[in-house]
Amino acid sequence: MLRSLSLALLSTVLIPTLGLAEPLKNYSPVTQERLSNPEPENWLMAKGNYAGWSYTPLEQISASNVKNLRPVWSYSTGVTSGHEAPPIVNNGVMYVATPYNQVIAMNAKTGDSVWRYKRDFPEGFSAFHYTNRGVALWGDKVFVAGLDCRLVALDAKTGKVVWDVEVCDWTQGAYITSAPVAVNGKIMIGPSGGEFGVRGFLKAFDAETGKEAWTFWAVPTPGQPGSETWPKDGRWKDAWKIGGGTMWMPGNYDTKNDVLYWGVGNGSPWLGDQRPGDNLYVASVVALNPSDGKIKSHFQYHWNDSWDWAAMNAPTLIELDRDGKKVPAMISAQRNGYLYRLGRSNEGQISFLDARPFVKNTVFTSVDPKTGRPTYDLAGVPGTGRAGTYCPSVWGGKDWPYESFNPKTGMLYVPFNDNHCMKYEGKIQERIPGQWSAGVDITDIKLLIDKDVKYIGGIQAIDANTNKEIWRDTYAKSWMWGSILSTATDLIFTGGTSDRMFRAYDGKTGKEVWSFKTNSGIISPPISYAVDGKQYIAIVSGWGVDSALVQGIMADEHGWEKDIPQGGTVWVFAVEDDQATGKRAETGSGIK
Amino acid sequence: MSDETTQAPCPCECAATGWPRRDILTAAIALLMAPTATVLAAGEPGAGAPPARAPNPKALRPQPGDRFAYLSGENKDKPVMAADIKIGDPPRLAYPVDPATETIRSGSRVNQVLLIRTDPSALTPATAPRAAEGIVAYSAICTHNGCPITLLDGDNRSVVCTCHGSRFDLADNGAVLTGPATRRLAGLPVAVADGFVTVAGAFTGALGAATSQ
Repeated sequence: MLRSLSLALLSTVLIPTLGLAEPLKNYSPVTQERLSNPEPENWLMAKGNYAGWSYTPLEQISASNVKNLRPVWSYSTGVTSGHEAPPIVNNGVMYVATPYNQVIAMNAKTGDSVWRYKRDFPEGFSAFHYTNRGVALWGDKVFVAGLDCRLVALDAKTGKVVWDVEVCDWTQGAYITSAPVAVNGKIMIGPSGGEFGVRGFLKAFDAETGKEAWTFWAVPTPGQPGSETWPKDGRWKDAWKIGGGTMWMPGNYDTKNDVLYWGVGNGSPWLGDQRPGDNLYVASVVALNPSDGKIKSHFQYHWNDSWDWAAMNAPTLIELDRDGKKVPAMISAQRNGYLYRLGRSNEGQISFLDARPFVKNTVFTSVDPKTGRPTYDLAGVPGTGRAGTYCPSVWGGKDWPYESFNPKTGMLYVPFNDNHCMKYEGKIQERIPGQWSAGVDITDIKLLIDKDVKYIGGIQAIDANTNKEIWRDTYAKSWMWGSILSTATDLIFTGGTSDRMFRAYDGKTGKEVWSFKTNSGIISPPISYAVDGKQYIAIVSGWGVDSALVQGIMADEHGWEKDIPQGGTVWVFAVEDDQATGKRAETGSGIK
Repeated sequence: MSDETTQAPCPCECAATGWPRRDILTAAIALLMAPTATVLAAGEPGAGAPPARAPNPKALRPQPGDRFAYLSGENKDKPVMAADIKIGDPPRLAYPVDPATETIRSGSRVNQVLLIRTDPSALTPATAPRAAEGIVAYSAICTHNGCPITLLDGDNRSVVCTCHGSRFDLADNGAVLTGPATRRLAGLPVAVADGFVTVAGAFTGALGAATSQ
């Protein structure tokens, strides 16, 4: 009880230090110009830039010195559950979001905490996943979205709440895990809840006032374009109201042409036969106008989704070499197990270029080379009262973790999971607000993995120009839950395995060149930044959520290690060039 | 946001309802956390606190004598009759109802209760005294992440939260059989009167999932 009391008293209370900490005395306001052209030393948004590259132009840490990479500081968040937020860094100050919607501001050089924002949810609160995928920056504010469906603006210097607005209704099963995205003074965010009958949307709010600017509904209202792909009458005429299509990951932004590209999640309930039709914009990428949220175009990866193959990951914005010219394009390893290349025009029109499987997909019998529309093997389509067996399982060929694109080499690095399938039979489930109503009970979903499976998780390195795989690394005893960071020096960094390792690879060959065992499994994206001219690599280690759930299944059914330690820790690494003298970097707190 | 949360006042409203010692202590701590809320009954810890304001009857915890109303489905808001609940039926999710005013206590999510009927001979000594004709009642809010629990397991005595698969034994005091939940479900004593299932006491433990860390 004493613990409850102290927690209650601490909730939403800030823990400021006396006076402003060093990096905050001259806090650099975040402008559109800075977000469009982020300085190499900063990591201003979840994927590092609007194109979604998860790439650092910094060049100090390279193949020749990576063996000397050492932790220079770490920081325990004191929070359990899955830590999925990358550190966000702006000129020497680091912001880390944690499960339970806390934000910790730290001195990025020393690891000293500057302020901490805590939140207490209402009594009886529920959310399917208690994770958070990071903050957004704009002006002198930090934005964090909440499991309790609130978008909160904090003063970047003090952590004080500037505004706090409602985005969705948690009592109906909606919850927010996504990092918000800041574009032109608006903060964009969408909730999760595709297993709870939530109709997906993206909302934009004014960064200064919190006033709502627009809403884009991922399932169109009857009469709107796209609504013709939903049942108009009969038993399923109201399917659109609970149709899913939640937009639960940050989108990408074409700064030159002012076009947003956002991913749309799975259909709800999972059974496509409970919402006959193609079901736009479920399992699609949509191009939106950031000023008013109006749709410009879309591409649907697969119609009438019945597999929970959510397309929440926006495609990575790249350019392809075509006849000696650079052509704007997009590339995306999707949850359905196919790797897509798409065209994008200056006007935001999306076109299909090609698609190929990057893991085993047992459902698609063909993909139309002109339109990208797949045909299905009905044995792989679960229905109401009809079992379907399909690969990949709900966790997909690639789940939410970020792929990485290295613009210097044209390589795309994909964290993937293969050789896992699923069987389930659907039913009609009463929708009880706040309870899972995906059309199948969690106890009736069977994950199917061969006993002698050679691997599940891994990394694929793909040449974006040729679409060919160059190398892969595979994990015999682990799924892959980690995002990837690529560097200008042709290294990649990633975690994601159940052995708690943080690894660096040679980007060209796939050879592992460095590793470090952290406190827990890593499911947050690695990032890089620099302070006072010194490059750092940062990661938050904190296993949980789906990685822990699947690990439990693997332990029970395949004898894998059961208990992966939980609890979040921020780790920051640098090349210790002063090793010879035995001097540590300046991370002391001045207590001596 | 629905009025479920906006209307829910502090947890100390339950303090004036003759709860057992453990809950009085909870209430006292709650009073410390929210000093402007309802005054406690004279003689209880915390007497002398600021003046009372009328408790919100919708958000009061279940009161002895309350009946139940279905919280969803085609029978939403209709009374839960003992005869409606049979062994092997899925859990009935319900809110307590003040029989005098017919106020449904839906003002707080932790008032969601699940009811099942079990074989009376299977009930453990901790559970049997608060069951009625084999009917047992528990908080419906999973102690893991707070989802309402809706699935009966094949043994007709345990329930499964279909969000993450936690299982609780309702014949044995709500004990956790399978995680990820780590804390048992709080029970709610019930009786049967005039065919209605009624409340016969207070929740026997903490409600819901952790709200912060």
